[in-house]
Amino acid sequence: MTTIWHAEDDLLRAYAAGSADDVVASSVEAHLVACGSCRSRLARHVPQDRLFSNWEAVVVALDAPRPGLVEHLLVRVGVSPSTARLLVATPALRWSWAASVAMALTFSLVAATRPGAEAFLLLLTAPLVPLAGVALAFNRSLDPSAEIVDATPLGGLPLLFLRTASTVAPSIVIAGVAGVAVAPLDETWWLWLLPALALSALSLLLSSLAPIGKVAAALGGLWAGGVVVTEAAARGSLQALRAGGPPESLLFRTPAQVLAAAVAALAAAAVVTLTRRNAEPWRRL
Amino acid sequence: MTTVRITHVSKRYGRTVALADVTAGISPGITGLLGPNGAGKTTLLKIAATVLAPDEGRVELLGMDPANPKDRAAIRRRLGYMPQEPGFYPRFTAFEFVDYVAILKELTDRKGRHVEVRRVLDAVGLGEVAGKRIRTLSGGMRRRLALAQALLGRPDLLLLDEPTAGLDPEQRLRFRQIVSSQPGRTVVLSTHQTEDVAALCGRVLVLAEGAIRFDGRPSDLAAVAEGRVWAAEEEAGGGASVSWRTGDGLLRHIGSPPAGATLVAPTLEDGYLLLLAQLATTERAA
Repeated sequence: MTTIWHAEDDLLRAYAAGSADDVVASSVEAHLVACGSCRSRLARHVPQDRLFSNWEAVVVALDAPRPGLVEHLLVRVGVSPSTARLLVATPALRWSWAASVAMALTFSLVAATRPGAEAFLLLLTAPLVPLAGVALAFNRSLDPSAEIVDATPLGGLPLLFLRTASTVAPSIVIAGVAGVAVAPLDETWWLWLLPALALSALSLLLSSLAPIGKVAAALGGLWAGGVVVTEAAARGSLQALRAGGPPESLLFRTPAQVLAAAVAALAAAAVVTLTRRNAEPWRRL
Repeated sequence: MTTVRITHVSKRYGRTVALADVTAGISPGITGLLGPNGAGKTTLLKIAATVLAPDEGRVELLGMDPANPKDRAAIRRRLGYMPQEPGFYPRFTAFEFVDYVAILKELTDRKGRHVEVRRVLDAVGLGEVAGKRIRTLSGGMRRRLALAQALLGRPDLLLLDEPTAGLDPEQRLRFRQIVSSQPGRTVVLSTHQTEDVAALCGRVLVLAEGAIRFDGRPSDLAAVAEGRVWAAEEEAGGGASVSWRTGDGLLRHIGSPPAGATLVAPTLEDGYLLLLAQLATTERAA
């Protein structure tokens, strides 16, 4: 014969209000799990506002976005959770990453199948990767919510610059890694870096005059054409381009590199000044 | 206090004139923008939302100058904007989208932000579908989602471009309840629905061809047609500017009386239609 024990009302009230001490609360809880009649008596003692706020917290937690893998990684390396959220949300960023990876794979393929000519090809293509990244990140028409985003305090230039930095930085790293993989470290592998920065900064500056996609395409075309023409001129003929060896174009000599650094610095400074002085240099709707 | 002050503002798109030398001041309360398509309503709201710079003229929002980048950021902190054709990231859930906009509105504390996101979603009746992807939501739900993000942070200046387009009558009623429960704030909404203006607005601006053609209370706009609205059984001569046969079989004339017609009380819509008809007549004459 067992005595049936039930929780008293005072006990239930204290438990419901959260004022019972831990030992009492856990024994009441153990009993509640097994006893239907005490559970139904408990319901009367639960304060409405506590129930409501608990329920709210559950609902909010259920609907809250769960951070994905990339977001976790970004937070791990020190990016603030809200900045990480902004970065992973941007569709243009994914495309730009995909483009960078595709480019790196192409380099490796070219290197595997045509040994010898890769140094020149690498120097021609590598600056185009960050340039494409800038065009994707800075292109408002690729953001479906541009109009809503524009009217927010962080949605204008801060967001565009954040996106641009987050596409240019990894694309430079990926192109760099591909470069090292293709042409093991020698004195020519970094020669694309300054032209890449100059082209990216120049495209940002010129985007106040024309859509950034067109600007980037034009600059990219000029760069590729310029490299082919000057390289062919230096080697004597177009056929000579098939031969391997270090790049000979004057674009990869010291004067041109200094010029590229100057253009990059001036264009970047002009972008910052224009942005500060002019109301909406990037908003020609 | 004037929250939106626009002085001699003009805006052109190529050869098309969207706004021609517009001057207006808007104070706290609900102001309706009425006007035919292409009248310049959306352009005016975009300028007030700081997403578009005028070609000429001065704009002052909440006492600040949107042409100044620092002021612009300060204005945007107190602004809610629902564009006419809002776009979304289709892979996002409703909650994720509003959360994203909330981050851009500088609500950086995660917990507080999530409570605020929940509040605006509940306010527009989307609490139940907060976890659903946007591509599975109906057109009316998407419009309410766009309204929800505009309500984030209880903005002082709420700009709504055709917020009731595509909403059913119950949703429109709910919308009216949300918008009218913003005391002390400035709400500007553009619409084609004269009933919305009559039901909500303390003031109405009529835009046509890029200029303000009427500025006053909704009852003043209805009064434009005072003594000019007639009910008749037969189509008859006379100089009616506008007429149509209503559901009860009678002809409603706005303008000069046809023979055998009886005078009826004008509505806001009558005043609006008469105003537009008069504008068209003066333009034809010119």
